[in-house]
This record gives sequence, structure tokens and C-alpha cells, in this order.
Amino acid sequence: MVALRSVFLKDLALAYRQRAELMQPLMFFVLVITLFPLAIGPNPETLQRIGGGIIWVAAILSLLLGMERMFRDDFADGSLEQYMLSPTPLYMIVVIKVLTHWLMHIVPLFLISPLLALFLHLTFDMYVALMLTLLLGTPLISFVGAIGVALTVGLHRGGVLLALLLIPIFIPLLIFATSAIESASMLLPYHSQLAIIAALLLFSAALSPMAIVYSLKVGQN
Amino acid sequence: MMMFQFDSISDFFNMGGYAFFVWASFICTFFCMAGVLIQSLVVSKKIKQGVQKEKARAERIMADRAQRKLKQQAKREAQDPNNIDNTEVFDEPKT
Amino acid sequence: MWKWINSFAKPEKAYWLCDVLQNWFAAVATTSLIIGIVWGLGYAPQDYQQGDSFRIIYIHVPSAILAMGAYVAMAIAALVGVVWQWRTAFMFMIAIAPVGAVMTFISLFTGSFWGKPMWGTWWIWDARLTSQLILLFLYLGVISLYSAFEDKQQAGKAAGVMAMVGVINIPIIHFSVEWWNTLHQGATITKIGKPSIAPEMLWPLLICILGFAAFIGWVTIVRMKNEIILRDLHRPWVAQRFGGAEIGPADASANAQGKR
Repeated sequence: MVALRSVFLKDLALAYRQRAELMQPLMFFVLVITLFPLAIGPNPETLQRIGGGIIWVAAILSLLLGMERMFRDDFADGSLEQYMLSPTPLYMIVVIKVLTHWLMHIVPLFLISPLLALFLHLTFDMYVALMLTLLLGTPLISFVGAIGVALTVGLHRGGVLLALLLIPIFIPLLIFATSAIESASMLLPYHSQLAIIAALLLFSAALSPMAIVYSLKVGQN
Repeated sequence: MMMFQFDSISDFFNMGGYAFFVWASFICTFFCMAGVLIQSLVVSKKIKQGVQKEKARAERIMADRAQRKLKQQAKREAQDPNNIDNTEVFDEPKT
Repeated sequence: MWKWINSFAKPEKAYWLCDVLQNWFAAVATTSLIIGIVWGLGYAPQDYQQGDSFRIIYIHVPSAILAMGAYVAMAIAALVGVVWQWRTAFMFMIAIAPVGAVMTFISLFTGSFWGKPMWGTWWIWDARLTSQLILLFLYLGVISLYSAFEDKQQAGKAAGVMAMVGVINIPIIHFSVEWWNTLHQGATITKIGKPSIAPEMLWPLLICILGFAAFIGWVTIVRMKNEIILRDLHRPWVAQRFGGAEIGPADASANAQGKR
């Protein structure tokens, strides 16, 4: 337990020291969303119609960008090997790392989202749906994404490959999340979409740590 | 039951007006499948040739070494056939 | 009970099996494909609604089904490789991946060319085509991950994990895309459902499916043999099998003390 707590605090501390780097995916997120009104035109109805989709696509892309951080620095300075050799099960360490990473990335996203809802003229109901889907969906992205990151941790140019591998896997999440936001825009209930996203989250939270541990061992060779 | 469905060969090529779509699909499919098959077979041939070349090369090298060794032995035999000078060494390093 | 099956973990044994099977698959593939396609193109009755363009079904359906089947086969091979540490399983996995990707591409291409006369558009985001597109991306992901690693054993394991993650996701993707499609269905009605198919049309379809499956097996076997030799290039059994040069008497003594 002590070891897990120290992993958690260490990751937080390191992230805090590199907060500029943490800001980059966030800025990417905002910039991508800004591109759409510029590209499509400022018509509020159009933007509202596609707003949920834009925010989710931008969220997936920016989370993918920031995902490498999960294991890259640990791999570079050898602490990943130490994690593997330590008596604390790697499984638990991995879960803590993924959750910490998720926290660090989701909190800024949440804080900035009212602004983006404003940019895209989302209604309040849509905004609530957006928040709920982000809350349930982003840990899923972190868990499954971690598998991809663990596989490509040793590769030089793993960044784009990571995105290529993971984007098809996130398509169902995207479909259900945007459908929830759309239902919200029509003031229809969206519990079923949320339930499915929650199910996907639980499924991946249960199974992905094992896959991540195996992938780390493969990546380290 | 099993009769040719078209009145003439030109009808067959016309495919009831859908000639472009049907034939483009079939031709693309044929080329893709043939392509992947031929590429695999070509690689297979190249690999086998490579293995044979490597083996021939290895054998040439070993033949060369054997030749040199025989020549050296012959030279030493010519100089001192009965090892009178006790110059023949029995623990030779490999050449 | 199944101990004998473990011998196929050795590349040499697997190569032998490939050798035995190759000509069989080649024969079945060529005959089935020729019979199936000629039958389908020339002798199957015309569809009353779609006319002769429906004949594309004889390549679209087999390639679509088998693209999925090949991915499942790839994932099973990945599982065998990861759980039982069979090198040959990873070799099979990477052998079948490009073939499956080509099949997926064929299904997309023919689907598009079938769609144009039927629905009036080259591309349509219907559930099946969209799922096939995502399947193609999954294939390309596995292939690119494998080629990103230099150590092929590591590459096999990494690509294997990706293949297994993909296969778990395929039903999820299908379900979600189908649901998405019915949700967003506008004026276009996709007629490629499961119409009751007349037997004169069904038989050539089945033969084509068999032909495509045998073809995939054939090409995969050839590719697997290539992979086995490439990975085992410096092993004695490879040189023994394929070496061309004769060993003459002058080299006999050298061979006795030479490298063995």
C-alpha cells in the first residue's frame, strides 16, 4: 500500500513539475475545437448539431497525444524496470499509474469544457451529457490506451503508430458518447448510452491491467 | 436449370448494363488476389535462392580452407618426412 | 493426449506441415474459384431487382466473410503464441495478416462498386461497410506494429496483443456501428439485407466462399513458409533442405572438423 501511495504521489509530483507539458494536449484540444467553427462557419445551429461530436473527437485525439507520458519517462530512466522487479505486484502499480494519468488529464479537460461548450453553442442539457460521457469514457480511453502505450514504449517513433492502433478501438465509445449528447439535445433520455459506456469501462478496467502488464514486459523485452 | 444466362457473348460483357461495375469489381479482385499470391511466391523463390547461395559460399570457403591445409601438410612432409628434426607439432591451431 | 500437437511449435515441423498442405489448398482454391466464378458470372439466374450487377455478390460476400474469419484466425494464432509461446503461431499470425487486409480491401472495393448502381453512391456509411473499414484499420494496425519492432519475437508478441484486443472489440464495434447506422438512417434504405436466396444463386456463392477460403489458406501457407525460413535462416535444417551445392571428397576432412 505504501508503495502504491508513493507511486501515486511520485507521478503527481513529476507531473506538477512538468505542467507545461501537461498543458500541451489541453491546448491541442482547444485549438482543434477552434478550427471547426473556422472551417465550417459560425452558424450556431450547425455548430450545435455537430458540437458533441467535435468535442469528443478532439478529446480522443488530445488524450492520445498525451498518453505516451504514462510510461515514457519511467522507461527512459529505468524506474519501469524497478517497478517490474519490486515486490509490489506490477498489476497494482499499473492501475495506479493509469488512474493518476487519467486524473491529471481529465481535470484540466473538465475545467476548460464550459468554455468549449460556449464556443460550440451547446445547450445546458447537452453540456451535462458531455460531462457525464467524458467522465465515464475517458478512463476507458486511459485503460485501453495504456495497453497501446505499453506495447510501443520502447519504439522511437511510437506516437503516430499509437494513434493508428487505438483509434479504431475507441470508435464504439465515440458512437455511444455522441449519441448520448445528441439525445440530450433533443431532451430525450440517454441512460442506455451511459450504461453501455459504463459497461465498456468496467470491462476494460477489469481486463486491461493484465494486458498492460504483459505488454510492458513485451515492450521491455 | 443450368443454362447460360446471356443471349450472346457481347451480352455477357455488357452484364445487363452494369458492365463497368461488375467487371471493375472482378478485375480488381483478380489483380489483388493474384498480386498477393505472386508476391508471396516471388519472395519464396528469392529466399530459397539466397539460402542456396549462402550454402554454396560456405562450402566454397570450407573447400578453400581444406585445400590450404592439405598444401601445408604436403609442404611439411616434403621437408622432413620422418620428423627427424622433431619440428612437427601435434597441437596445431586451426587455420 | 494432445502432446503431438506441440511438435508444431518447432519451425521445422511446421514447415513440413505447410509443405504437405500447400498443394492441396492450391488445388482446391483454383478449382473452386474457377467453378464458382464461372457459374456465378454466367450461369446463375439474374436477380429480378438488381439485374446482373448482383453477380458482384460472388466476390463481395466471400471476401467480406473471410476478411472477418481471417482476423479471428489471426487472433487465435496470437492467443496460442502468447499463452503457449509458440513461435510458429506468431509466424502464422503475421503471414495471414496481409492476406486478410487484402480481402477486406476487396470487400470494400466491390461493396462500393455494387453500391453505386444500387444506391446511387460510391460510398455509404452503412453498418457493414463501416465495420469492414474499421476492420481494415485493425489489420493495418497489427501489421504496422509488427514491422515497428526489430526483434521479431518481441514484434510477434506485441502484434499478438493488438490482434487480441482487436478481436475482442470486433463484436463491440459491429454492435455499435449497426446501432449507429439504424439511428442515423436517412432516406437511403440499404437493401443488402439477407434476402431469401434461391438455390441456383446459393450454390455458386458457397463454392466461391470455399474457393476464397482455400485461396487464403494457400497464400498464408506460402507466406508462413517464407517467414519460417527467414527467421531460421542460419539453422542447419534450412541449409540441409535447400542447399544446392554438392559436398565433394576434398571437403570431407574439412567438414569433419569444420563448423557443424
